[in-house]
Amino acid sequence: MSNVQAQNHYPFYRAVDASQESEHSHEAINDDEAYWAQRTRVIQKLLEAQGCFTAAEVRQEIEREDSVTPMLGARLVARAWVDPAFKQRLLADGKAACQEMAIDTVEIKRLEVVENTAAVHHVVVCTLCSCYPRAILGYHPPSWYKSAAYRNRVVVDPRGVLAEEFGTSIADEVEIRVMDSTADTRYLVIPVRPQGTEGWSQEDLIKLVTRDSMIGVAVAETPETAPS
Amino acid sequence: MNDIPPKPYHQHIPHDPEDQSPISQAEEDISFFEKQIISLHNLMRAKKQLPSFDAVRRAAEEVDGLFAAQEFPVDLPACLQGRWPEYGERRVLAVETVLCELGYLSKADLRAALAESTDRPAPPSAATPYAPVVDAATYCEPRYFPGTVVQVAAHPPAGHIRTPVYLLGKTGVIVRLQGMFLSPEDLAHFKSSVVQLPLYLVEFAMADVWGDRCPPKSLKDKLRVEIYEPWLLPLD
Repeated sequence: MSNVQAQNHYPFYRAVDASQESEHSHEAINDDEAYWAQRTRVIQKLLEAQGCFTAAEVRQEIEREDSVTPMLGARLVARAWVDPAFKQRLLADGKAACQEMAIDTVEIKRLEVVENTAAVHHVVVCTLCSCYPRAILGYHPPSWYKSAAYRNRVVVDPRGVLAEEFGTSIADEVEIRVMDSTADTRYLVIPVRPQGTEGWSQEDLIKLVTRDSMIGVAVAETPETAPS
Repeated sequence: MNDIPPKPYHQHIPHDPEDQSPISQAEEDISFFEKQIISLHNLMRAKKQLPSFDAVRRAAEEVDGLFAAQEFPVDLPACLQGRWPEYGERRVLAVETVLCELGYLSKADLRAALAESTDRPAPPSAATPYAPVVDAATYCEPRYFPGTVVQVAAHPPAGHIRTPVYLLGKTGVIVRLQGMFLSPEDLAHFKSSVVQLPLYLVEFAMADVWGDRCPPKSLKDKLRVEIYEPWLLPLD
């Protein structure tokens, strides 16, 4: 048993603002990042020289990936909350339901949407790497989702992880189902619709649906806790 | 193209049930190079230049295996002399490995370009398409049905697997057949024949998986995991 985990807690990062990203040169904040930036540029240039793609295509893909946010998932959830027939279609075939809403599932081979209820609470992990419904929640899962600590701990002690790390308390009588994304299915959680939202529009409901609630480590915001 | 046999230093993803490390929720911005490497391999997959992500995952496991075995690649940069690769760094190393296996890049070209020697002409494309034969016959009929009690194989083969090590030898119940999918173990190693497999959603009781280690409040909680048919044995 080793305490040197294969996958680090923290990916390399720096603050990037949108205007910088449109520039050709990207100033690295330190030597390590400069090294990897150069190495990646070299890979890209060699592949461009082979005719695999153009620099413009890579830029477009980066922009496309940047444009995908948890808003897409929140739209699915909000509609499922107000439209029971849509919810059934979403639970039966996630990709087809996304197509109804013009949401492109891109690289997702199979999308399974799971519903949290008074009886069951789902929480999603990928213990083997970082499988995540990227086309719906964004192309960069949260750092904690990728961390060895989360991947090790949530399958052993989901209640402890949710309560101690995320402040999420699940009642004893609710069954917790940990979904380990080991194969081709990607999971999206429909959190329980909060009390006090009867008659709300989808637009207002969307604001209650957080990324973390669609992973299952949190519940949806309530009318009281939502940012105004 | 030839298949890529498992490396002796390949490491199955470990799982540490004793891990008590804190889970920081600090939101980290992603460096540009990480976005770039992920975008360019997503683009290549979309254009079918990269057949799937399985080989990249396998190559990432090899990177971890090299570090675990302290067998550092010749081209190891100074910044990795004393630490493990970060997520984005591992991805760069894994993608490079797979692109070399497919013939898009060579180590020599990478080294020369990194050294910024400018007298090399653009290399000709040496990429060999990966076009395996699909074996849809061996597992044409799913063997298991919802409710069947099954046991996960105890001993993993060498190379890339998608069964978590914490489930080896454990008993669960088939929830349903998820569908028929190509074997990631075959795809990851660029096997010339790839078997199509029934993939099941299997439910495990936390109490059965963890025994005495199961937290008291989780005695009725469940794990649901997708497992490919060759890994499952029926229990009567």
